Amino acid sequence: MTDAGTIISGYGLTFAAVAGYAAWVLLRGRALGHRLGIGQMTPDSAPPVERPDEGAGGTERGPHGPQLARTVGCSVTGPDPDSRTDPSQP
Amino acid sequence: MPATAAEPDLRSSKNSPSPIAGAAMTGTIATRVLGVVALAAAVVMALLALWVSPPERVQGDAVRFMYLHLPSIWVAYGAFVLTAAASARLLWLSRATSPSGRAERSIRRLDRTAGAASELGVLFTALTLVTGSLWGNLTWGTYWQWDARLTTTVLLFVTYLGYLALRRLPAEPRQRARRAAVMALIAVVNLPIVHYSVNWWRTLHQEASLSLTSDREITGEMYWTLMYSLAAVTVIALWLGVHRYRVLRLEDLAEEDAIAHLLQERRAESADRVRSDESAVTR
Repeated sequence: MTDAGTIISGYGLTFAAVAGYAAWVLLRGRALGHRLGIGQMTPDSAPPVERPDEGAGGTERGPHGPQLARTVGCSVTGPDPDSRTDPSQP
Repeated sequence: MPATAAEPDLRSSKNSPSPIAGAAMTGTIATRVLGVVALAAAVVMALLALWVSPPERVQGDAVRFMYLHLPSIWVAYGAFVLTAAASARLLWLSRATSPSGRAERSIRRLDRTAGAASELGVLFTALTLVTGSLWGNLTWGTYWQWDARLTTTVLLFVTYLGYLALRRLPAEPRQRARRAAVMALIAVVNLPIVHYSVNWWRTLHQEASLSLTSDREITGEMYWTLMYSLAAVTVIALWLGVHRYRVLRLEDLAEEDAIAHLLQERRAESADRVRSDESAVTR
């Protein structure tokens, strides 16, 4: 292999490895979120749920309100069949 | 608990539609911005390293590997130091036999930080070894030599692979976190050995290209490209680290969920048994 070929291969390999790892992390997060039922958080999707660990005034919406409260750091997005109210959505 | 960059407070988004609908489960506006910045930084880094930076007088174009190799080990060093710092703090907080709820939450956060950082460290150490090997083939004429720097780096890589394996062994979460923290503090001892191996022993690997104490050997466009690459790879690693931390948080939740589900099943089973016993007695 020529010098240029080796350099291009090295860069390609490095970027592919980082992109692959990033994709794995994002997809794993998405899969776990779905498994836990963390879905789209909308005002009408579910009745507010009291958050026992946060005292008065702390409510979250969605089927897993208390869990969501604990899952700070994870966005509450993506399809969640239980909390979806718009029938036009797939 | 105050919200941190790694753990934004969802309370701010209660009663309002998610502003990041469609994003990955572990994404927030901040991480999406960071992700775009990281992607742009990577593209610019490739352009600077492959086109703008001139070839070196002796090594020629092979020097372009420096812009991948040095930032990779820089991030790996940082990640392993963070792993060790989080582990030390974790062990300190978990001295008490029954820590308070707040301490318990801190312990879990520190454990996740150590887990995410160590995984990044392993990834970037592997990239350091691969890029170093390719670079070595162009400059030394061989992919591998058992010299001090290369050997200690492989040892570092294998040690942290062991650390990641230890984290996956089934155990009670607090015990697992403590066990991993002890291992992290043992593993980090190799870090200064890797770094100073080129000074302590006669090695094929060159001495440090950048130093805070001596005059720098790289100047001009090569120097600024290297500085830029260090910053770009750091931003990329930061983005990856934040997401990995959040995935570890979801993994913890999934584990709790699975345990709660099993407990519920056991309770239902025993309730059924009691009911059937009662009906047998009544008959």
